[in-house]
Amino acid sequence: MITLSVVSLFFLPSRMLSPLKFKFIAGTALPVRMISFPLLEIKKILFYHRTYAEYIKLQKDYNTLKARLIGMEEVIRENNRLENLLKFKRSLVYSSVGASVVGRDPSNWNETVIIDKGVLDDVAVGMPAVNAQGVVGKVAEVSDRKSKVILLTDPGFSTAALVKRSREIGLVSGTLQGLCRMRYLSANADVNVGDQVITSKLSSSFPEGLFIGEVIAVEHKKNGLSVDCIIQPAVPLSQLEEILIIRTR
Amino acid sequence: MYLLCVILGLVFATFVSECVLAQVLPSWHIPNLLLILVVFFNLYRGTRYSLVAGIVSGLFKDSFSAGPFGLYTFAFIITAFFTTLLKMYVYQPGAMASRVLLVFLVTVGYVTTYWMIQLMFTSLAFPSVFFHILVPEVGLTTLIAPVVFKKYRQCALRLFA
Repeated sequence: MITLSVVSLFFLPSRMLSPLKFKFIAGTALPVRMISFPLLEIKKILFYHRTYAEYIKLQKDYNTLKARLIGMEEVIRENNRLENLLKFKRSLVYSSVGASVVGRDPSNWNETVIIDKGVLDDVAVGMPAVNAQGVVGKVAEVSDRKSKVILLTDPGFSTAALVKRSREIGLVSGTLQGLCRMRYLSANADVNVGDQVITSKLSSSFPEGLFIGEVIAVEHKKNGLSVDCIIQPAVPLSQLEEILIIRTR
Repeated sequence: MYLLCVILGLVFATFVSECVLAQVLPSWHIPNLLLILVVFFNLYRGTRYSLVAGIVSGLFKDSFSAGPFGLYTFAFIITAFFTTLLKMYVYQPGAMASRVLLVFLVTVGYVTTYWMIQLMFTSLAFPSVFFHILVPEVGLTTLIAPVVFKKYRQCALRLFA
């Protein structure tokens, strides 16, 4: 009778047996787990050195993969930056050359960077340096393969600029605070906080219309003859990595 | 010749450290390590070595600066002589406090000298120089001077032995 009932099970369709099988598994799983738990724990203790070796290996792999991931993230970021620079380069009317920042002046007095392009790449003194966000500075010195770029925030930098909204013209120069100052605006100049400042065609170095930064403060001179503006540069100059040198000649 | 190489090596290493700090720290937060080196050579070896260190340091800094060439070199030469002068009145051998005071005064002298020379080329208002250059540079340089002196002393003991 038992044999017959067992044999008949073979002829039943598998979907009818499936729930039965899982009930059986559920019923047996708990006691099996309860019995095997102490045994497994003992095994773990006995083979701890193997587990530890594996842990060390995995830790090494994890560190390697993490380092690679960070490297890849950096590559992606660089790729995005270069893509933006390329888009900007295409939009420029002038011919330009891309350069990487390879050094920085460590002094508190000056804001200068060294780039990896020089005379051999047709870079000359006075050429404007820009990136996708706006004006960076201008070339101050050149050698065959390197150039020195004086940044917008260096006290020795100056260029003619205008307020985009009201077309008021002034002279933008650097300060020691990492900001720029727009001088020689007339006393009744129409300038407000938040106004955008761009390069003027009066500038001997820069083409017209390049974004310099935003006005963050307006200072009226005590003598009442002129107004000064404090400008926050559009480019975060402390994070410069790639720039474009515009060949204006 | 050997001593010259040691001075060149130490100035180069210090300049590289300053460049690294300039990449890592925000502006105005960079201590003047080369100035401490010039003061150190003055105390440890005398004015001549301090002058050599000052000239080399100045040439390094001038090469990276976009300002007129020679400003830093001149400021460092003045600093070397100024240290010799102050040493006679302020410095007591072996006393750390007097060394720190010397660094403080020399840094004030260096920043003031540089500012006065800069005035010939650019107009820098005194309040701006005071708050953005003098206070941070003097403060930081004085603050780290004991540690840097100790490190230079260790280097010098090994290299000049």
